[in-house]
Amino acid sequence: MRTDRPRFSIAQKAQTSGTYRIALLGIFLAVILAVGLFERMIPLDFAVPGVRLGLSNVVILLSIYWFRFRDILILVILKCVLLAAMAGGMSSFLYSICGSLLSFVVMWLLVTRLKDRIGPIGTSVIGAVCHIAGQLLVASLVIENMQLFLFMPILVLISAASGVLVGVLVKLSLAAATRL
Amino acid sequence: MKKLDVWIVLIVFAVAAAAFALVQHARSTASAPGGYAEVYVKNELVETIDLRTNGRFAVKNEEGYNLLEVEDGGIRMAEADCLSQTCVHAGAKSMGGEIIVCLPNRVVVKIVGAPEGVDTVAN
Repeated sequence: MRTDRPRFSIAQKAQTSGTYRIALLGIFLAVILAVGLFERMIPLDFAVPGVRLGLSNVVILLSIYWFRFRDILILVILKCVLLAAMAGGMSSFLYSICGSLLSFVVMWLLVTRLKDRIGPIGTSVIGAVCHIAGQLLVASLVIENMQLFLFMPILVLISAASGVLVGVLVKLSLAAATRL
Repeated sequence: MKKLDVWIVLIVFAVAAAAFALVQHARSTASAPGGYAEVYVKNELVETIDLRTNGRFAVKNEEGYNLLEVEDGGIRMAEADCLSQTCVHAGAKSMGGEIIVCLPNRVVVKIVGAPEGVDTVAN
């Protein structure tokens, strides 16, 4: 049945209604945490130990299209803090927050400045590479051993592949959201 | 998918694959079965382990505790008191240039041909 009420995009609704935005952010955080915990059960350790898919990045990238910078910043920080509290521990928190923040800021810049030229797939691949680079940088500074960067090529290959997957999912979600 | 997306994906994969091939190549040309394992804590050499004799070595520092086990020319992290257990899952390493890393406890185990400071003449 068709209705005649005006249709708003999720981004517009999030801008005009605080309640809508807060409710949606809460759902997003819950999804991020559920996906983040679920991911730990998928072993991807065939090349380098400790590799995970990074599917929660689907939610982060979608938020970048829909929410304001500081809302997403809170989302990213809460993701790292809560996941560390639930599963990772203190030291993994340091690596994950640096990787996540770097990747978020770069993806945010790409979406806000170059939206017409780069779609979700390119954005998510670059975000994935930044995530790995940020983590490796902090990790190698902490243990004071630059040899960790020898893992970078294989890590980039794996994370770029998962970045393509994330980008496709975001693209589909964006298209689906316009039909809501 | 926009044109720039295709380029980004292609370039990232091409560069990473080339770098990966380079690292693998450097590893395979340089890699002979290593004779020793150097144990670093915060980039400080704390122990050099001869891989020819089986045994277990405890590494303790203020960050935590790791137990290394040497068996049949290879070395593995048998225990670590961290949550992630990443280094334990890494398995045994025996080739020169390979490393095992325990990030939480800042322990790096590096396989080398000969212990540092001993030159070929001494060997």
